[in-house]
Amino acid sequence: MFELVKPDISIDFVGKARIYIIISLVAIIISLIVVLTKGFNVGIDFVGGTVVQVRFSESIELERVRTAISPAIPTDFVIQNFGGVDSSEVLIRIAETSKLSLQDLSTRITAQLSSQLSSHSPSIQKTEQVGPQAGSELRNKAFYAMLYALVGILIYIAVRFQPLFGVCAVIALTHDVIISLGAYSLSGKELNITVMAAILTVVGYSLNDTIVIFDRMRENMKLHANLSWKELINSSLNETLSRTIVTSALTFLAVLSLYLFGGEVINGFAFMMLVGILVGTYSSLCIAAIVVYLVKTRKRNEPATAK
Amino acid sequence: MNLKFRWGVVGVVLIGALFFIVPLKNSIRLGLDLQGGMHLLMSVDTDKALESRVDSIVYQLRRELQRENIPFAYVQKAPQYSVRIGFTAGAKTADIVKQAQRFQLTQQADSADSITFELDSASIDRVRTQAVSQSLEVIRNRIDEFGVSEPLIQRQGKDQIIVQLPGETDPERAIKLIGQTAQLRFYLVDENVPPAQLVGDNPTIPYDDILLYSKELDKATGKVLSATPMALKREVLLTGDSLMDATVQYSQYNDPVVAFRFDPAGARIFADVTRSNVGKRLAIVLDDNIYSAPNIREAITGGEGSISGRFTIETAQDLAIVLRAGSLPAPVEILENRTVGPSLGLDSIHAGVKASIIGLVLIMLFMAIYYKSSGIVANVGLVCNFVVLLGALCASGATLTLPGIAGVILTLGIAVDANVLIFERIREELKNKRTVLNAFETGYDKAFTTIIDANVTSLIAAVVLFQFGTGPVKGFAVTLSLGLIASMFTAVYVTKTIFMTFIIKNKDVQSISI
Repeated sequence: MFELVKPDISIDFVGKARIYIIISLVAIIISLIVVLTKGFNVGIDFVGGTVVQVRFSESIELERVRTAISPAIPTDFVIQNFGGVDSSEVLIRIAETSKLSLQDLSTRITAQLSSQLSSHSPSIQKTEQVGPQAGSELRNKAFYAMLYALVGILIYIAVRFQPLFGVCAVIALTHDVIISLGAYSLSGKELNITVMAAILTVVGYSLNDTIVIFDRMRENMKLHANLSWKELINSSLNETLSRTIVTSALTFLAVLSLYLFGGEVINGFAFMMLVGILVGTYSSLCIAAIVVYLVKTRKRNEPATAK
Repeated sequence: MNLKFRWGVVGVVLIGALFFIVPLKNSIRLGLDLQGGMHLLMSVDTDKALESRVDSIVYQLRRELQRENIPFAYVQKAPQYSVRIGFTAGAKTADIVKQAQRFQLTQQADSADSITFELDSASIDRVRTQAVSQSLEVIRNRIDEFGVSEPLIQRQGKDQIIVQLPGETDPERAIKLIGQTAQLRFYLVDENVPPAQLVGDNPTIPYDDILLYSKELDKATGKVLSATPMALKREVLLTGDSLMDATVQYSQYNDPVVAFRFDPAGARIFADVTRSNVGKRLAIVLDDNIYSAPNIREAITGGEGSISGRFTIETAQDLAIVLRAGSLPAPVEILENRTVGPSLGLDSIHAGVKASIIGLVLIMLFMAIYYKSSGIVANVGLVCNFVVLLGALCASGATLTLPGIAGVILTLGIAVDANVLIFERIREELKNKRTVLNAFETGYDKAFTTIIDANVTSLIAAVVLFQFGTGPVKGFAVTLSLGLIASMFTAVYVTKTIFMTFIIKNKDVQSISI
C-alpha cells in the first residue's frame, strides 16, 4: 500500500499549540503590516479607470506607444508589456479621468493607435473601463459577499456541530483570509473581482478540511466517552491527517496547472488559490481544532473529558 | 435487482448529459470573455429627463396662458424641478393656479410678485421610471437595427441598463450607436441678433433665444477645432419624434447625407413653418450641436429633408439607424465597458482547456498510483463528473466564463476529495480487521455525512458568490455549484456502483486493491 502518511502516526498537535499560535499571530501581524503599508495593486474593478490591451504584429518599444497615444490622454497613464518583456502585447492603464467620459477616452486611444502605429498593425485585444461609481459599488459588493459567506458558514456549523466549533472555524477562516491577502499584497499582483472570488473559494476550501476534522471529533466523542479534549483532538487530527494531506496535494496540483498553463488573465486567481490551499491546510490542522482546545480547557470548571 | 437499478440510473444520467452536450460547439454558451464581445453598464441620467420635462411644461404653460388671455409677467424654470410664474398688473392668481394644475403642478410658495409650482413626487417618479424604460426600448430598437446576434439588454437596479453584445468587433461604433442621445430638433435662426454679439466671454441673447454652436471636432483627439455660435429662437418647431424614416443618400457632390421623411402630421407642420418663414434659416440641431442651417427658399410640402455635414458612409448609416429607432429621453452615461477581442477569447479558451486537461491528468495519475485499482475506479467517477458537469452546463443554459473553467478545475479537486475521504476510511476500517465487504460498506456510510457537511459549506460560499458577483465571477459560482452537486453523484453513487459490481461477482473477496 502506497502511503504518504504512516497509519500509526501520532503527532502531538495539541502539545505544540503555543508554537502554532505564535507562528500564526506573527504571520497575521506581518500580513497586516504588509497590507497596511504596501497595500494592493488595486485593479480598475474597485477604483475605476481604463485598461486597454493592444497586440502588435511585432514587439515594439514602449516609448513609441507612449508618444503615439499621449496626445489623446489628458492625464497620467502607465504603459507596460503584457506577458514578458519581449511580448508584442502592451497594456495601457489610465487612472480614472474626471473630465473625460469613458467613451471618449477609448475612442481616442484607438484612433491614435491606428493612425500613428499602423506599421505595427495594432489590434485592440481588450478594453476594460470602470467608472468611479461602478467601482465603489463593486467594492461594497465584495465586502458584503465576504461577510455573508462567513456568517452563513458560522450558522451552518453552529447548527450541525456546536456554536463554539462555528466560532473557531470562522477564526481559522479569518486567519486564512488575512494571511492570503498579505501574501497577495507581497506578490504585487493586481487585486480584482476574480481574485476576490478566489478568496471566497479559499474560504470554502479551507473549511472543507476543518469540517472533516470536526466531523471526526464529533464521531470520536460519541465513540469514546472518556477521552480528554487533548486526546480527542490529537487522535482526530491524526486519523484524518492522511486524507488532509492527500486532498490538499491533489487540489494543489490542479490549481498549479491552472497557475502555470491557465494564462495571464486567470493568473492572480490561481496564485491566490495556491497560497490559500497552503494556509488553509495549515489552519485546519494547527488552528481550528487547537482554538477549540484552548477555549475548552481555559474554563476551570470544565470537566476533563470531552463531551 | 438493486445493482441493475443503480446501473440504470448511472446510464440514464450519463446518456442524458451526453445528449445535451453533443454537439458541444452549439450547446455550450460561452461568456463574453471567451467568445469575445462587449459588456456595457450604463446609467440613465434621469435628472436630465426631469429637466427637459420641466422645460416643456414651461413652454406649454406659457402658450396656454397666452391663449386663455391670462396676464402674466414671465414663466420660467426654477431650481428643483419647479416653475415660477411672475404676476403682472391685473393678474388673477386663481386663473394661473388653475392652468398650472392641469400640468400636475402643486403650489409650493408664493410671494408678492410671483408664485412657484413644483412637480409632485409621483410625477417625478413617473418621469424617472419612464425615462429608463423608454431608454431600454430605444436601445433595443437600435441594436435590432444594427443587427447583433443574441444581444442581452436588461435593466439593473433603479436607473442602470446592461447591454451585452457577443462577438461585437467594433466597440467604438457600437457604443456611439447605443449611447448617442440623438435628439433631433428644428429651430429658426434668430436673424435679428448680430453675430458679433455672440462671440467673446459674455454673449448676450434675447430671453426667448438659445445659444448653440456648430462644432467641428477632431476625430482622433476629440478636441473642438471650431465652434460657430448661433442664436436660435427658443421654440422647438419639430423634433425627431415626428420622423417616419431616415436613410442614407448621396448629395450632388457625392457626399453621404441622411435623408429623412416626416410623418403626415410632422409634414404638415414642416410645410406651415417653411411657408411662413421663407428667406429665414432653419437650424437642424442634433444633441445640441447645429449640423446645418440652410436657407428656406420656398415652402417644403413633401415632408422630406436631409442632414448634411462631415459624414462618412458609416457614421451616416449609424445616424440613420439612430433616427429611425428614436431618441433617448435622457442622456446615458457609460459606467462600465468591458470588451474582449475574439482572438484573446480564443487564447483564453486554449489556455483554460490546456490547464484543465493537465490538471485532470495529474490528478488521475496520482489517484492511480496512490490507490491502485480503487484509484482507477475513482478516475472513472472523475470522468463521469466532467461529463455530468458539462451536461448540466449545457442543459441549464448557464454561461461558461474563464473563471468558470477555473471552477471546473477546482471541481475536479473537490470531486476526487470525496473519493479520498471514502478510501481513507476504508483503509482505516481494514486496519481495524474488518472484512472487505464490511470495511467497504462502513467506509461509504461514514464518509458520506462528512462529504455532505463539507460540500454544503462550499455551496454556501458559491451561492454568496453568485449573488454578489458580476458576469465572469457568476460563471465561476455556477460551475462550482453544479460541479459540487455532480460530484455527490459521481464520486459517491457511481464509484459505489462499480465497486458493488466487482464485490458481488466474487462474494468471498479477501482483499481489495486500495
